[in-house]
Amino acid sequence: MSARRLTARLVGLTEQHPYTAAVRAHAGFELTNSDDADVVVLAVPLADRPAAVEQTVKAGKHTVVHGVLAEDPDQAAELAALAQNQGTVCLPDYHVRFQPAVRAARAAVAAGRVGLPWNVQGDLISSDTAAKPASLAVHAIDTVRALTGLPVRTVRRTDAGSVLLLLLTHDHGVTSTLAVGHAPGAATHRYRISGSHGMLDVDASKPAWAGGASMAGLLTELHTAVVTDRPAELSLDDAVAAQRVLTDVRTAEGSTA
Amino acid sequence: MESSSGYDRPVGVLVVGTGAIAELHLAAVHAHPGATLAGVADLVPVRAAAAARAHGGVPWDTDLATALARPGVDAVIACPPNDAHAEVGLAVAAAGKHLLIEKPLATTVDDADRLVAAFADHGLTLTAAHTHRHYDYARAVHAAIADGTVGRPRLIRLSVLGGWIWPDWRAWVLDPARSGGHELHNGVHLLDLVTWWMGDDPVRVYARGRKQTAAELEIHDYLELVVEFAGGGVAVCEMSRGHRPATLGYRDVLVVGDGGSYAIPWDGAAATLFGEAGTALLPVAESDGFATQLDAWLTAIRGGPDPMPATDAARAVVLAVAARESIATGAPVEVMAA
Repeated sequence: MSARRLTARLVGLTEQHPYTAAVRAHAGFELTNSDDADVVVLAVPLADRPAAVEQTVKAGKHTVVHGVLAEDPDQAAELAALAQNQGTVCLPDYHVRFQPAVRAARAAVAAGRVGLPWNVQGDLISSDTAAKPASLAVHAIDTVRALTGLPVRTVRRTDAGSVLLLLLTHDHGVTSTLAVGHAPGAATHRYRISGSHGMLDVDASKPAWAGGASMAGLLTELHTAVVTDRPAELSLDDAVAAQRVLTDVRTAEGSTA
Repeated sequence: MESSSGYDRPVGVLVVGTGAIAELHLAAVHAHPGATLAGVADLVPVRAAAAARAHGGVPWDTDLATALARPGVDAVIACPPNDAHAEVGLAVAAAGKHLLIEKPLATTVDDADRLVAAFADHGLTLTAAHTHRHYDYARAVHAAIADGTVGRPRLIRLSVLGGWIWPDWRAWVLDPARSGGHELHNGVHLLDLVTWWMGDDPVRVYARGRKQTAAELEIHDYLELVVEFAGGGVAVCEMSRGHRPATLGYRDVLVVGDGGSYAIPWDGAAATLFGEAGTALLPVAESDGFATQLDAWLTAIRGGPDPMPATDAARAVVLAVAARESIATGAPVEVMAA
């Protein structure tokens, strides 16, 4: 960890929000209410989000954005392009890829420990019955992309109310299936990667401290990218890609994402 | 035997087809006080004779009609290759015997319907060996849903994953003309279970298949079967004989409802053994599903409740055939509500 600390301003996050605690606990950040903050963590309503992202990026702030960038994926893509042109580090809040078990799984898959992956199954079932399946889905989609390194090519959706089922295809004949949703008392978050030479079962709800660690991992990625000038492993382009999977599937079954 | 069905002695059972699965049925017959082995039949003389000798020297035949006409034969357990199910089943019905037949009930929807009608016409019991219904885990899931533990089920996931278990290219299971494909051969187990658990009428099937072990396979050794139900619920079934390592034995159930969830995770029914050869799972000792199944069938023969109606087996065939079509076309297939 670099000794340089970045000042971070939280917008729209309560004191109880896990990200508030994560930023507060991270050695690379110092909370501030000042407009001069190096980093802005945005969690504003969707209607206000595009303008907020644009304003923050144009102000040269490094940014973490909660949720999709904009309701219109084309507008989201414009914001992603703006961030790239501005040269700031802007990340979507896709912290699951930094969850310790997922990080280990990504490394194992990339090292060939299951051979050539051919299928991923994922379940993200939250106990928060107010959670929208589509909002959960972007995290699961991003995690599959991070696990396999493969973009989503087609998607088929089945909406079962509190659960959304996504059947995806990727390059090389790889398929994945994601069940996202909620149920009272549920706490299932897992991924299973089947490969030509093995299978990897990942329980992303473990270990118990992993929730905070995943957010800390995302913050470390942001911090490292800012202080070393190396590109972050994800960007707002990843947010646009995940959103397009959901947006296109809303309009046409079996559409190409 | 004490029912009004006419059996006041053990039911005489003829076993037709003496392959590996028949041994499990035979063990159940030997262990049940309400059944007795009346004979065996197999098209291959050496197999029929060997089975007869191994099971107490009972009569053996290579001709089904001759075997069915033997005295003491009240009922039949049939384990021939899948493509012979219709022919054998119709002969059993014509002979006025009850039948427990290996799954799938038939390899075509028409044949399944013919079998259901034939046994109904004769007032005989027809049961397909959907043995998973009699396994502890399956009954536990059904009970959890039935007692309202999860509320209205929205998602059911059932994964049964393993490595290659079949012999070489001579295995009839690998010939889709004989087995009906893996969708019929093993897929019916899962399709039946999730439908039974969901307690709703299936309306649509979408499926994906892979030939994972060898590109030259004519069946899909990995199946992903998605069933949509009239009430909006959905089930995802995975059936695999194409996973690695080949020793994999993995069963996983997740039910998500609007009132809660219920899971039997892959490692939730086993102890962990840390031995000199490495770490391994030690599965819990489950009850014998074949024994439970036989008891249920005998009860149904005696006029008791039938926990596996033949119409349910026919519905599983409909779903499996739809899955096979979906894999071939890449499109979902509508199925008639039961």
